[in-house]
Amino acid sequence: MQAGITGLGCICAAGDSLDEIMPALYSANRNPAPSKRVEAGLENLPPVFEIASDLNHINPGNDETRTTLLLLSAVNEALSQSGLEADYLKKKRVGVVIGTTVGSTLNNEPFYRAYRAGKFPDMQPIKRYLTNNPALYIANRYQWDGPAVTIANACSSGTDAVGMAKSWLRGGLCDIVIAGGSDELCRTTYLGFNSLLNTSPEPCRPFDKFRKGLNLGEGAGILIIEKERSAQERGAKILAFVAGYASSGDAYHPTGPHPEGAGLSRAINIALQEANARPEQISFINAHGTSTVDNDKVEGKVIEQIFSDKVPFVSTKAYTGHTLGAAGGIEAVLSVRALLDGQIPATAGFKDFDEECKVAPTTNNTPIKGNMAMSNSLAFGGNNSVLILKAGQ
Amino acid sequence: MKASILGIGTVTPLGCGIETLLSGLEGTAQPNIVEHTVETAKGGIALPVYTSAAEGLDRFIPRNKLRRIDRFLQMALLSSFHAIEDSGLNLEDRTRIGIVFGTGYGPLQTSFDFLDTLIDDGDKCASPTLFANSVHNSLVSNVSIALKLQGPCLTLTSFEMTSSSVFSTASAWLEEGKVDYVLTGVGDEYCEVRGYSTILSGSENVSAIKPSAFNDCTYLPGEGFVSFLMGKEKGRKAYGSISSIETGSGNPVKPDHSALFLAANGDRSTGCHYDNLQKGKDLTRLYSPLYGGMPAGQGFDVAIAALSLKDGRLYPSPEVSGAEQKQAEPQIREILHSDSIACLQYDDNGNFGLITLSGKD
Amino acid sequence: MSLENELKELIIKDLKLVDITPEEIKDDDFLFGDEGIGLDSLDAVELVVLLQKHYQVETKDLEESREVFTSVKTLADYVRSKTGAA
Repeated sequence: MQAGITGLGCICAAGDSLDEIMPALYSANRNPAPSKRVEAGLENLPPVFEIASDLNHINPGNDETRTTLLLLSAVNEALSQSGLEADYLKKKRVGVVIGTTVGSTLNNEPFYRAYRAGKFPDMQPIKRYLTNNPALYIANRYQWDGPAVTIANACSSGTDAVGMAKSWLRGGLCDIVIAGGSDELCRTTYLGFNSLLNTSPEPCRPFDKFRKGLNLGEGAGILIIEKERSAQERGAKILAFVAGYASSGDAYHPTGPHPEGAGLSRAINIALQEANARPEQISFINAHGTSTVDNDKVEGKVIEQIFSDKVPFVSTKAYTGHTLGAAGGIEAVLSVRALLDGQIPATAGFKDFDEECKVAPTTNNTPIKGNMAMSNSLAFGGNNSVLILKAGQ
Repeated sequence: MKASILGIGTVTPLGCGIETLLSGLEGTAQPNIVEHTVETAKGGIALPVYTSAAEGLDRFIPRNKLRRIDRFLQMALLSSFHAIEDSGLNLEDRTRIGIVFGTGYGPLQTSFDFLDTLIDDGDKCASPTLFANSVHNSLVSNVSIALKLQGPCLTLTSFEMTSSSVFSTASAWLEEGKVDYVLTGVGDEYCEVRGYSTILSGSENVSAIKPSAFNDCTYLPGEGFVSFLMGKEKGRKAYGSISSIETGSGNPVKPDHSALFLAANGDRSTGCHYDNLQKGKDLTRLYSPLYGGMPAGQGFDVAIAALSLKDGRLYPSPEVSGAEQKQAEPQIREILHSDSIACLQYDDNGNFGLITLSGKD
Repeated sequence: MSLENELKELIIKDLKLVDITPEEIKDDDFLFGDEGIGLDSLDAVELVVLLQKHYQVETKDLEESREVFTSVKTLADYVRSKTGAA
């Protein structure tokens, strides 16, 4: 069984759809700035990659969370590309697996402030939380009755979602899977990452010697994944295959990566094995590349160990910011598009080589050879997840 | 599908360790129910809360390593240590042991504690430690660090559908050969805000959960964590194995189970779906009055099912005791180890997860 | 109480240290690493909050402030230099 990707959808600060996003990436266009929506009592507001729109046009008149609206936008785009019609989907077993962080957390601050102040707030924010679990929301909205799972695995959630989709198809749990991630910017994550001192006061510079940390972002990235045979039967074009997925823990520290990247190395090697690929067959890597001191150092070291300097790599977080639970979904989507385009963008912000990182990311739009992309995600708590995507014929 | 349950650890309102769960089933121990007063616009309202505490964690982990570990994390840690100890296995290659946990609500108290730091002291004083612990996967990361598990790590959260997806994932990992063993766990914790929302959802003047009164609101919040060490080989404890997991909506397709455990917990919005269920000839049991109401409740039923298969006996539903006791199935009933037990949980939309355990090899 | 002793109490309280009393921490003990009291990177950022919360002293870059976080004494000197406290 091969897991074929037949639709892609994405929304992030670089654009509302892939047709907007890819040109922005290839022209190294980005504009992180202090948030217009998320207020914070900090003197210097770390810039973020924020979507300007209030998103109300996506599902007017309803009370969804921003995470849900982002998700809906990407799901609609991906479904439309896949050519899957509602009637057809009703006859199939459709699963939904979505990564998120904010979308699974009850941290409605206005509600909690009112509660603390003894104002006895009403239950609406809690009800909204209970009806906006990302995967369940989509499954209920479209009345699909395949498995529906929300993954809250911090920054690797979206990657893990794509891996789970592959596993579901392989195990025969469903015919089609809507997989990816969605996350909105909010005060909790903004202040949380700020308190960890890993947000950058300037636009992020993945793998650069003078990088100062990450910029948070928001968005959603969705892939429609189906069994190769059923996609062929309905005459759909398979854009790419999920060829390999692996995940491996550092078991090292609650917030920092293992200094030698033990878990990441293991995950990359297992994913390569599953994809039946040798390192030199990988066309490019979409790195986790958050632009924090520790992440890029460890990730660069591992990339150098396994791929020497033969495989070009990019961090698309230079254009999307770190979208947490959505990151793996967005980066898988962008990787497939880049595979199809035959090129990867420059890593905006990177200028100065860092010996500690050992390798340098792209500095220009870079043509790629071959047909396999790798996408890395390293999470809080030491989970490392790796996807290998192979272009369709 | 065949994923054997090799060891179980439980932190429930009955106590810590699988033997405390057994005492509860046999009726020799009662759950720890603490009465809280929930302040509402109508004044203070009493709310009994099923309360758990991870006692004896320092047997496994030095006190100074616990300084940043919150109450919920402690429950996950202790039940995990117990599950591995219960299996009697000496786990060598820890890169081949995965961990998949699920929680309906996540670390609620720590999420609010984090908000407290910025509300009390300003946005610049948001606590990084509390932030790190407030994310749902802090359970998995801390347990994987404490137990040095270096296989795949995953945290799932889908309210009432959480347990079925956790067991489904664990089974898939074993079947695909991604891991030799997988530590599986589910749980939820209580916090004040949950108490407030419980009262506002209609649980006023509730003194006991009556899970089979499907259309009444008798929900009382509970908390705890249950962990399972799972593998492909036959476990020496003979807890049986997960033989199938189904998800869907409406009425589950039912094979002939020996028994059906319903995770109904007095919550009316999910209760109506159990009420619509066409009951087969199987014996129905409802155990939520032992552990309290929570979205991850089904995982506790899985532990009870494993225990029942091991002992070859079905325990009575604890719903009403003493003089009120129903005559239908008051006694322990013998079953065969080779029988199967299905654990069913619905969400408020009528989606279900059905986890079937069997003692058959 | 000296600033040093005050800091020791705050560190134990805010970092939730166990099995150690303020008296057992010497002014010159290394805060981080195995040869001192063994704080880690998460404690470092919590220390930043501690300084902000109790002394309104802001630390933006841990790398640049590495020396400040060496010991209770260096921390106290830093607070004094920023606030003029005794």
